[in-house]
Amino acid sequence: MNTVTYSQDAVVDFLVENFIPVRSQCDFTHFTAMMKRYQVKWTPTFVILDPDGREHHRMVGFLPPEDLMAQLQLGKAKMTYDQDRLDRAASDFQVVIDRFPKTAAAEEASFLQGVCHYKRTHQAGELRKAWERLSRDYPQSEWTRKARVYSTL
Amino acid sequence: MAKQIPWEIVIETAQDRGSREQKPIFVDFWLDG
Repeated sequence: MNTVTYSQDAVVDFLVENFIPVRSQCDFTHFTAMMKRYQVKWTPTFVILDPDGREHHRMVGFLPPEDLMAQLQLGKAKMTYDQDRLDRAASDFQVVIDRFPKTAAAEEASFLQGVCHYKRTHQAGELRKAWERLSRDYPQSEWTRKARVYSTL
Repeated sequence: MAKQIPWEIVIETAQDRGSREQKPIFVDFWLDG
């Protein structure tokens, strides 16, 4: 991560602007308190927390710059979604889709954005629209398969 | 000179900053070497 991802100025700027970055060194012979608290079993593991320490998103394994920034943006959006700030979450998910359209994060964002729209409006058609967007943009995605049940709404 | 990430080491410090600055926290669990 140091040589490939954290060495990119765009990643540094993105992290500094949007997050409080923390590095927690692991020891698999003597598990640290942080490893126990967040059940870390492999490295690298990345978690997005709110200021109260509640986890909202997790990634395991190396991420190149574009994928890391996409996942960070997704984590921010999931935090606002978990806090039931649905208008804000829907626009945050759209940022993931617009800025990082070729990433796995965009697929999940597209699914969850549809859920946000449905929860705001209680219109089942919003879920069908989410499936239509996913089918068009990410036909092979697991998120498209998850949305398949909405195709008949 | 490449930019450096200003990592926090102590989670409580990060949580205090997160509250003040209204920002989420990104934790990288890593293994040296």
